[in-house]
Amino acid sequence: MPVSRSWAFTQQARFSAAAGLDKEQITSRVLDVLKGFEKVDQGKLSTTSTFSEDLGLDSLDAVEVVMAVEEEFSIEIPDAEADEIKTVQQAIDYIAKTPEAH
Amino acid sequence: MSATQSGLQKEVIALYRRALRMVRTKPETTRPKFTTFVRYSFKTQAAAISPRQVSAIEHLLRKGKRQVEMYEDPKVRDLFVSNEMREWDARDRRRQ
Repeated sequence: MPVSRSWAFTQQARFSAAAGLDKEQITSRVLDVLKGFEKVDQGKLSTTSTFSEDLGLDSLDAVEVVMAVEEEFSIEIPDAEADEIKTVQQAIDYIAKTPEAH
Repeated sequence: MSATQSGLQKEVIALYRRALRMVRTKPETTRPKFTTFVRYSFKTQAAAISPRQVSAIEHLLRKGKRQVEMYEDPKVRDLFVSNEMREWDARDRRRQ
């Protein structure tokens, strides 16, 4: 069946493309998301920053940041895992291990 | 709020996330209004209450859940946002 074969091929191509997101790209896109938040203390923004202590965000702001990251990479992060993302690096690492991110 | 999250704080955060996910289902044209409404409702009420007022927070959580459920109805496509809410939202986004 040529139709189903081409479908399978497309799926495979899509996943391999997603796996191709390199860490540098992910890092700069995550940092760009945070630059979009005016209240983030931009002078302290780096991959090692924590959302609360370094960037001055409260827990509700942090929810908005993680959801903005979801939108940037077109994924949905389950609540339990989203709760654990408290630093820029943790957001980067989550995207890096998520094949659906693109 | 304390550094270690209480069960209650986790519930508030989960409800905030659910409310923001509800916003994503709304028409693009009215979505900013829903966002303003959700941010205003959660943040002004959180600021007005001490983390020690457990039963007051529980009350707000129950009320909030009912409200989110109501707004999750796909028939709800728009809502009223006052000038006060708009101004608060703009101010809060700039707050350092």
